[in-house]
Amino acid sequence: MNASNDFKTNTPTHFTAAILVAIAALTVIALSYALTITTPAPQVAHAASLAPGTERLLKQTALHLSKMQGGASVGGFPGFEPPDDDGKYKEKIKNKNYSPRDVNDWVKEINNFLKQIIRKNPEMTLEKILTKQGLTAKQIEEFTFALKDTELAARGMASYGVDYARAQALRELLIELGVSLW
Amino acid sequence: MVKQFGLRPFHRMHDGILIHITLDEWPADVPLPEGIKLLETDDGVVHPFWRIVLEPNRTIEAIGGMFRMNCSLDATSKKFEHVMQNVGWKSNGMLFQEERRTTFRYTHSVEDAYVEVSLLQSKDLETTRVTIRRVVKHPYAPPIAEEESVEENVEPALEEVAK
Repeated sequence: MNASNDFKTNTPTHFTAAILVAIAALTVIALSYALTITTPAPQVAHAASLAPGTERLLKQTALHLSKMQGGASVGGFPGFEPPDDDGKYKEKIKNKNYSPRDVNDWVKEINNFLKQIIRKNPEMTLEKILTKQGLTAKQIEEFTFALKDTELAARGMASYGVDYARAQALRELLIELGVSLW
Repeated sequence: MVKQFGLRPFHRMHDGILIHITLDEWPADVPLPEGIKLLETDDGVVHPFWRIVLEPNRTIEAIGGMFRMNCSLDATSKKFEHVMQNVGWKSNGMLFQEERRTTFRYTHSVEDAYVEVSLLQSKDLETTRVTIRRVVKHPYAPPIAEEESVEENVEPALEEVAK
């Protein structure tokens, strides 16, 4: 009798509680999912309309440009931080004490990233790409200026170890991306 | 007296040429502050360059150079402000300013020209790397006056032949 009463009184309570817990859990899961897909990092607010992989390529480009800017952040992307255990490399970056051979290697990488960015986002200017990436006008200017600065360094060091064709290739990629050197 | 340049290597671009210049040949309208030195790397001194780009409607003349100053960013910045204003460049202010780097832009009151001076302080705060770029844009105009004068000379001659 007691058991029967328990059944009548407890079972609906347990059942209702279980349903409420399940609804609450589903709500939490749904909310967290919604938050995940609607709240990206500020920098990638518009990155969805760029080709997949573009953000990574932009970050890599900025990282290499940063090497020529004393490790400073370029266009809001994280700056290059040389490994702590490599004092020589750290000195080279922090004191901008790089050699033409370094510039040659970095320009090669930058050209490679820019080529991929162009291939993935055909007929888009760098300004449009960076705008879609969520950069501010100031950050776009900074990113573009760092590219122009790199091109200048590559030209200046062309007689000392920077492959002239490589410096020229950087210029042509910039033109293709609608970046005026003047 | 005409300066004897002699034979010197130059880089041919598809739309222009680039020539490395010495510090003596650096343009006088972009004065360099006292104490500035050409940038030196493990591979040698990095000489400034003079670059001429031929575009359909204009000619671009760009001078670029990388230097080093044995003083802090603030001191270098003040020296540049002083020398640039002395020769009439109008400061457009700073393009960027961060803890260790600054970029200034100057424009010319008459020519379609600008100078960008980019400064980066070394970590020990004792030296500053300076990058200077001067760009002058010369609009291209075909030599109309010359063509007209040729035609003027030719026409009467043809009339005389017809008579």
